[in-house]
Amino acid sequence: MPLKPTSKPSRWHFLVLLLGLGLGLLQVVAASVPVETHVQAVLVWGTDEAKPAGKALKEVDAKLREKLGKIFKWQNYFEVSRKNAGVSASKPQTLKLSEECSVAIKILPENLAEVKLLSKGKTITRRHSLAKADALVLGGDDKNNTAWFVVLNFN
Amino acid sequence: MNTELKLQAMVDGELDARDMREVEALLAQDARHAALLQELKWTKSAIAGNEVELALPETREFYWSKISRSIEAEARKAAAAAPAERAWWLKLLYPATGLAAMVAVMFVVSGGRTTDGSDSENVPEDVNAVSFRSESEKMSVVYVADENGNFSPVSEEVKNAPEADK
Repeated sequence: MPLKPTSKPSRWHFLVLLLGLGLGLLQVVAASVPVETHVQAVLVWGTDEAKPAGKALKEVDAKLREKLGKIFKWQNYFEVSRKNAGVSASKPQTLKLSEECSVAIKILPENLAEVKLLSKGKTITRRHSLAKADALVLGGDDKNNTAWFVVLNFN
Repeated sequence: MNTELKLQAMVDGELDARDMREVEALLAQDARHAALLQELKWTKSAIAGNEVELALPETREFYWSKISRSIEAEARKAAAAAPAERAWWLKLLYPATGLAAMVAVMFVVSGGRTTDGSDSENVPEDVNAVSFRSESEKMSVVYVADENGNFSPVSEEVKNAPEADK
């Protein structure tokens, strides 16, 4: 029996082509819509001493305490302040964590976040990849063998 | 070989030169053999021009097997000439390749979302900072070494207990 030639494009070809065009269009639209990233910034003070009396400090949540405790040496981690914000490429945010400290967050191309920690007239700038699910911790020594931390979570 | 056979061979053109000379010498002397030669020539010409063709009868099976073989030969010829039926996935190969290329182009155009390893920091010259990543705790850390706490964002008011409590 002679076989049917199949050189003509079938309706499947058109269906797959349409699907491809639709996906491509979706990708373009998705890329053009700015995606807002939720940022949580927590200012933490680490010390081996007990909580100072009369201060409205609370211990950080157990999960963060465990994470910090595995990396750093301090016994106690107190939350000084906490701020939340939505950040996108077109909407940078500056979060004031204390009288002397604020964090400016900007979303850059290539899935990067630029974080500027401004404290006492000095600035630390960090470019952080959002491709990883990592928290960004900016920290440093403080007086009397204590430490400070700014913990930033992006999601 | 006797003389009659030689005459027959002569008519059929099968004699060599020596026998031919011998037979010709004989024919010149013997009228009986010359007549026989002539008769053989006539007979040959008569057979060559009027041979009856005999058709061998075909059996019924042979007749139908010939038809069957010719049909099969036609089918084989048509199959060789027509393009082979392509597998279903092969039909989708070209559109799928185009689709993949299109998605890849769109992905590149949109900037992608898989950038990794781009972490970097910029600190003032008088600040000594180290950075590291804890894979187990999923934390990227930038730590400023500053024993005097000159960079500390935590105010003294928070860290120190009121004088009355000391």
